[in-house]
Amino acid sequence: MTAIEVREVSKRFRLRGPLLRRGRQPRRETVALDRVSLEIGAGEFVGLLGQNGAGKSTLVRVMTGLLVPDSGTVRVLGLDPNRDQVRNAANIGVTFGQRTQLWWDLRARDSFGILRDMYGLPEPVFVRRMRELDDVLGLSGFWDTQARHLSLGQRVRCDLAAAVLHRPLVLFLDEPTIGLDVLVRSQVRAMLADLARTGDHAIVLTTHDVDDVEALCPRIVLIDRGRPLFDGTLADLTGIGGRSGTVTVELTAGGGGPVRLPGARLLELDGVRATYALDPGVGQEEFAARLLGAGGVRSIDFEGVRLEDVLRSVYAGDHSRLGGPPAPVLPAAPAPP
Amino acid sequence: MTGVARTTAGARTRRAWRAAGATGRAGLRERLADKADFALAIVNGVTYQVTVLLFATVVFTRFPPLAGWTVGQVLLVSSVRLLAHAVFVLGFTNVREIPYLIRQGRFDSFLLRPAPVLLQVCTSRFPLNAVGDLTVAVTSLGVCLSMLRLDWTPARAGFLVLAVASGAVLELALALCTAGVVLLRPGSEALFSWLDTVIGSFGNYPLNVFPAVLRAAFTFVLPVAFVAFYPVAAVLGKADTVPYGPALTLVAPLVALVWLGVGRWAWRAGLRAYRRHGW
Repeated sequence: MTAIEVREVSKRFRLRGPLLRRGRQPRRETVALDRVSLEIGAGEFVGLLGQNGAGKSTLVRVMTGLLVPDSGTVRVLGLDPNRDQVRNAANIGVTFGQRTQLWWDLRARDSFGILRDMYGLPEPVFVRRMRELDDVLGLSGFWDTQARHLSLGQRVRCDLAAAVLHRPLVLFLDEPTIGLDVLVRSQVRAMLADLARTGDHAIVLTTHDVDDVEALCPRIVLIDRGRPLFDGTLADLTGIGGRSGTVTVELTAGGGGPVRLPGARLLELDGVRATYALDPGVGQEEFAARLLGAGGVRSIDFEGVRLEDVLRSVYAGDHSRLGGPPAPVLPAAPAPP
Repeated sequence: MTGVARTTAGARTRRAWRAAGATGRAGLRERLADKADFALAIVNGVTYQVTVLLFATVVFTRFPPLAGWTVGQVLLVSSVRLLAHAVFVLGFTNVREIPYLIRQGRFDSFLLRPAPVLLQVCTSRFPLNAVGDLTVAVTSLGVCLSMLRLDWTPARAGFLVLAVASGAVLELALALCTAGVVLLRPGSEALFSWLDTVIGSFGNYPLNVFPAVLRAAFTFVLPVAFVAFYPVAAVLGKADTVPYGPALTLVAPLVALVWLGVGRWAWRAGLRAYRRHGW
């Protein structure tokens, strides 16, 4: 089932110039989204990546109904998030890392109570969910504190709990782990992984934290200058365009082990250490079998291509790793959560 | 594919009111969080409105009756205006807080919750100063009615109540119009203060005392005169003394409803613009 459907969505922002010089200057516009199409199935966990200003947040704002596109259509569980704001709001949960949705002067627990009333949760269900969220996020240590007195980590955990309290079928998470320490970050990841395991929620995660993406997102959508550059799995992205992992093989001394083998290119030979680059399409198990079959191998150490490396080169303008020009976008097969 | 949250109109209305109740209670709890702030907000409301009344009293006790309006009659105009304003503040004053709500990011969260945005705006913070406004307005109304010694008939009393309600609706309508403009253009937020000043400054006095251009402006452009002056003229039996004919003293409720329609349209247009361009 399709949870989110984005069709040919474009959005431009007009930049207002200074009043007195407007007549002599051409109108300036920035393209935030350029004919973006995207489908996200129920139960999918999608990482939405891109540089600052690439259009990620604009796309999230369009998908949540906060922003109306200039052209194209958006449907979230069949509803237009802009026209059906109230009904759509009951289906979605949203967090914005920089802004809280808690009531500023109230204790965090009071905010949860308001959301219980707002979403019409029966008391036993509310109590059970709060207990579950407390188990994962450790909320009870600070939920009697006014929201404005919470630390960033405490506030983010409360915001996350508030966003999922009504068990939304679609969840938008904009930078949920920004500024968090490693312990809180791991709590948040554990909570999101729990949600993903249920397979009930379509989750869109916008982040610059590649560790979040590698830990949580089977599917990645990479956006650049308002256009999707890539839509596929994490493995596809790290292995795309001829890129693959390297293999360091330690040969037995004087054993006459393998130096050249089909399926990999020898990069370096240093005494008994040989470093190979796997050919596209050659799996680690397959190549390991060949190495072991050839004999004379003391150890094998595979090192994959890191997502961070790929992103760094893509952000620097090298799209070759994505296998060619930015468009068209690859249609993504629904991935398991 | 159909939406998961398919509900009937009745269920949506119940949900909206439940949400309004929840945010309204939250708004009140927020205000009660600090006892000193709570007390100061009430004192501020009282102080502000007492100052306005004192000013009007001083002016009209130092000068002879203006255009045939005695001090008591002028104070009735002020009192009805104050009471209408207090009712507006009690229910809807948060509309004027929209620029702050947007900057705090709270306005966006209203767009993401299952309740009408205007309802969430209005219930986002309990207007404690309305308690002060109401106290002063009711006291002032009581004092000037005792001065005037009117013959109270059900029709006259009913029209006075209707006048207060119309005044509150008119203020809401004008606030919604302003909110629509502010949502469209962030730079126009000072309009809220301007509107407050205009109604507060000119709405307390009989229209007769103003020059012709202001009389026309407050009747046909910005309906300040319908907030209190015209309906109070009907209550006092002075319909024949008002500018532009006595019929205008009876149409305040109608004018309020028409302006409410305009305000509703402006609010929706502003909301659409906000969603289209952001702020």
